[in-house]
Amino acid sequence: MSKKPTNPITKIFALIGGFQVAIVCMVLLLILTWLSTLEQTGPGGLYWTLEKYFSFGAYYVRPTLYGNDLPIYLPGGYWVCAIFTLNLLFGGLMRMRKGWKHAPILVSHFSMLMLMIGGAMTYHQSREAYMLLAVGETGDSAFSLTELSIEIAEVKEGQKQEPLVISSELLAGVRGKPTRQREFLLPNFPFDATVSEYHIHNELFPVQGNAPEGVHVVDGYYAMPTEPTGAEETNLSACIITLKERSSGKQHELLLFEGISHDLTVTIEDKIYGLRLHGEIWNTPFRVRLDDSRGEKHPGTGMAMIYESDVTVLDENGSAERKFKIEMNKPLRYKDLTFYQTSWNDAGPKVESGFTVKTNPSDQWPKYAIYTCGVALFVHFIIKLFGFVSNSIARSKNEQ
Amino acid sequence: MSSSKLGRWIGFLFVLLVVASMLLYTAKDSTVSGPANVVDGYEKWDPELVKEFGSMPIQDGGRIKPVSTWAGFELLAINGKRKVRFESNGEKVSIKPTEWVLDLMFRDELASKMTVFQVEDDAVLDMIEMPHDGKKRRDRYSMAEIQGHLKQVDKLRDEIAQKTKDEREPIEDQFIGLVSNIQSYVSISSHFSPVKEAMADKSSSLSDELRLFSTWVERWPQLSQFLAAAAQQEGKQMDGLNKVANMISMRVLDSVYSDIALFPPSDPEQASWPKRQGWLSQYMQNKVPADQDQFQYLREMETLALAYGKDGQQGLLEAVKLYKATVQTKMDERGEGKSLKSEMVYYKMDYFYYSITPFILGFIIVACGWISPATRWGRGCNRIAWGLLVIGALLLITGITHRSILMNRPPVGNLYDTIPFITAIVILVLGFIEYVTKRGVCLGLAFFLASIGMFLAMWYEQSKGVDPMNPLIAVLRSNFWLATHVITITIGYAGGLLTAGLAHIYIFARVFNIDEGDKSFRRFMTRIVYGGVCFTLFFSLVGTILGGVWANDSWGRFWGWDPKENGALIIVLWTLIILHARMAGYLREWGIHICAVAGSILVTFSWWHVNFLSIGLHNYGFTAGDGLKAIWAFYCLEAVVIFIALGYAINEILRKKQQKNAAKLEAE
Repeated sequence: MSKKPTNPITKIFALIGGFQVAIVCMVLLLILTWLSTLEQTGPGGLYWTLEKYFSFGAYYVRPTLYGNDLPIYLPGGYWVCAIFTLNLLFGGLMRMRKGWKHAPILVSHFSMLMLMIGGAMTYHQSREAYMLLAVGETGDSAFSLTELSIEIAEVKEGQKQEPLVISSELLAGVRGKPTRQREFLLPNFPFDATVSEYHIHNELFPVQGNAPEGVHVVDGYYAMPTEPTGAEETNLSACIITLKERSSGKQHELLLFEGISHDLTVTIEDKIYGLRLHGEIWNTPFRVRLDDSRGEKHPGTGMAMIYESDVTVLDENGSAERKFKIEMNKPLRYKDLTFYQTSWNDAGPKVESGFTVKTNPSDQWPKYAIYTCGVALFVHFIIKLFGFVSNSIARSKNEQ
Repeated sequence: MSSSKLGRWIGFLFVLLVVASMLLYTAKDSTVSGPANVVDGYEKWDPELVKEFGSMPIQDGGRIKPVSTWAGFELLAINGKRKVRFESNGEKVSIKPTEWVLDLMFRDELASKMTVFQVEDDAVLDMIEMPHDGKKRRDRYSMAEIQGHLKQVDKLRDEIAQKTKDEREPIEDQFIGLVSNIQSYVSISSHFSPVKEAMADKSSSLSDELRLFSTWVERWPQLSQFLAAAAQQEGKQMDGLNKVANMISMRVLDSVYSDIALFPPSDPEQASWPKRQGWLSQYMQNKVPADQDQFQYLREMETLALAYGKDGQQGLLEAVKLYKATVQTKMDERGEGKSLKSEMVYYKMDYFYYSITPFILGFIIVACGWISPATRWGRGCNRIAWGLLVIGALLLITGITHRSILMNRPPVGNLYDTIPFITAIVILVLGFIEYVTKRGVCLGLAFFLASIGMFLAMWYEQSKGVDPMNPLIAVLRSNFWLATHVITITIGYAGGLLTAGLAHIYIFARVFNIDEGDKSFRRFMTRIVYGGVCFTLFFSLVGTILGGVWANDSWGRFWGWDPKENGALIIVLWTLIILHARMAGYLREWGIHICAVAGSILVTFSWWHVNFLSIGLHNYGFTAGDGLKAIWAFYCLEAVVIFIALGYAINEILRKKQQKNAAKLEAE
């Protein structure tokens, strides 16, 4: 940090880029990381703890330790990272002394800045879904395990038409807030829809005798909300969707439950409509065929040794483009998408491979960041070490 | 006596105290507590038989290993140590794992009297209504004592099995541990049960072939029909037939517990060696088809068992030699078992255990040198210590390399691996600093940390009782990432710990005035601690981000806020805070040293504590038990050091301020 700032704007720059802000940000990040590590062991698990500590919407955090809320409030991790990134930009790059002596530190600051921006891009721009294929099957879509949408489609002659999707983003305002409801106007359908009583984790029960007090019974079934688990992908959401016919004002209630693997149907104005609450579908820009899938366990144990899959990427016409082998630690990267081998199952009639499909514009940034930062810090510390060693040797000689 | 000399004496006594504690710890588990375990009529096994039997191959934990290795970890898991001690006919006897397995397999009546089941808390015994009068809270019990309570054990196990892991009480976890140990014990003791005795003695009318149980098993489809047909006819022979039928059913009932894979299968493509488990029982009930591998396995075991029954130890020795030749031919065809001999050598050499001696001795010698450092005596001690450090380091590095060759992977892949590796790094780095600076500061610390490291390795191996050379899960099977990410992050841990060690020396030197106000010494210590922080930062940062790059290739995300990742990030952040705060002028001498000591708490959190949280994807080192108490004790100890240092630092600042004010007043 070189000159003392004079005008107010430079003063603000100096403040944000100063050592104080850097240290405060790092201390806060350390505390937040430590507390979130401990809180993960609680009922919130990893998913909800991260939502609480590091999500965009978490402006402040009240930590919970071993089930007790601590009497402190801390700024949200996302925003601490944002300020730290600015600090790196202003203090670590713009205001820092330039010159060969400082070049390694400048480069390492630049790498860290790249890492932070890459992290932000991943947070906002990456998308992740799951594709399950049996050997011989071809897939062109993946579904999210954590983001749920409602699909509404007309069913003609037993065939489901192109569905209208109420996305997870639109449902975010009511999800996990059962007292709230949201109306969706559906001009392509003869009805509008209202989503309410959206609980994150439920169990579905048929009414036998009297239903428990306070539950909403629809068509002889009710969803009993339970505490969400920490592993978000294991939660089973449920909501009530009320379809109101625009012509007559007649209402139809349906209980949508994530655990039901087929559409619920309703007849409105002599037409059949199917509705379903499930993981958001993501159409991949190319198709993938699973040619072969192999799994091995360490002999005599149930411990996985190898999972690998041979896949063929198909073009739009269905002809083979390229063949790949996906292994643990060796994903398939093709046209902005990455396929990771996540699961393997040979219990059924056909061997199945589960792939996590991901798109992330900053996918390789950390790799480049670590290469540059590693080299820069190595050079810096080696220079320092040489200085220390030569001083020590000189000192020993003097003493002799 | 000057305060610095007093400080040196305190240092010397501290070393003796530490060494005495370590030796007492070792002695604790080697001493038989309470009334002696009496196993009268015990005859020692022939050493040649023990050697031959111990070198037999076994498939366990996903790899082929010598029986001696497997026996060692089985005994360690059950008994908490690798030796069984008892009294036999008034004489003290100590047996090793292979001998214990031989007893269990061939002389169960003696083995069942040996108190090998280590129970940490006798409340576990209350749960199965087993009396334990006259025993300590933590004590050992024999199978003969537990035998009568196995029904309660089964009942309680079924009850606890209904609970999820989170619902279980810690004492129930201990009970499940005991159940697992009983199962392992029964698996070994019942391995030869179906074939221990011939179906009839030589005086009977049965042919030689039919006197073998294996023949009955192989010809069971025909013989069972014959038995069924004979049962229809009344006659004098019915008693004999009933006897045979009962004998078979008893043997089959007894056979289901064996979970041991000693014989390779005939199909070279089949990686798993057969285990008997419930196969025999199901086959005899016509539930599974005939299996030639199982037949041959049973025949081979029968040959061993009958050889012992007929000619005792000598007969068994000859049979084992023949059996080993057969297995070796099969293994050669399959390309297996090439490192068995090397593994036997590894355990015989016991590098890590033997490295403790030069480390402790060196620590004492360095401490002797502290009494009078600038004399010939001090310099002599220093030279001897250097020699011992080199011997210890060579043993340690050879051990790590030998393990690495045996495992066919880089040296660090699980929590146990990290301990000798970190110890070696600490020794090498401190040795390098000592060699360059010749201040005599790092040598003692190297011995201290090396001794602690090796005791930690011993303790961890004993408490886990699991072979740390077993293969890794699929996601960890990447030699590139193990050699880069895991190695660098582990070096980062080593850096954090040795830096904290150096900071302790500064603090103790200041508190006990050992440095006699030598400012150059203080500056030197601050410089090497600063260097240590840089070292820790470099390796932790590179290791952490490399881990992210690996995670991105394995799980599809660079950062997942997994506890182990978070622990590494905490170390990186802490070192960055220290360096930036120093650059900004917020931290000076005391500050850097105090922060470096606090760093040891964070390294311990990352290295050990997160393994107790039982969450996350880095599930290679989950552990439980007294370890958590030890971690908290370490935190408390370090907190005390930090508070003392803070007290001194504040006191010094105030004193300097007062002196400054006094000088100012005087000047006015």
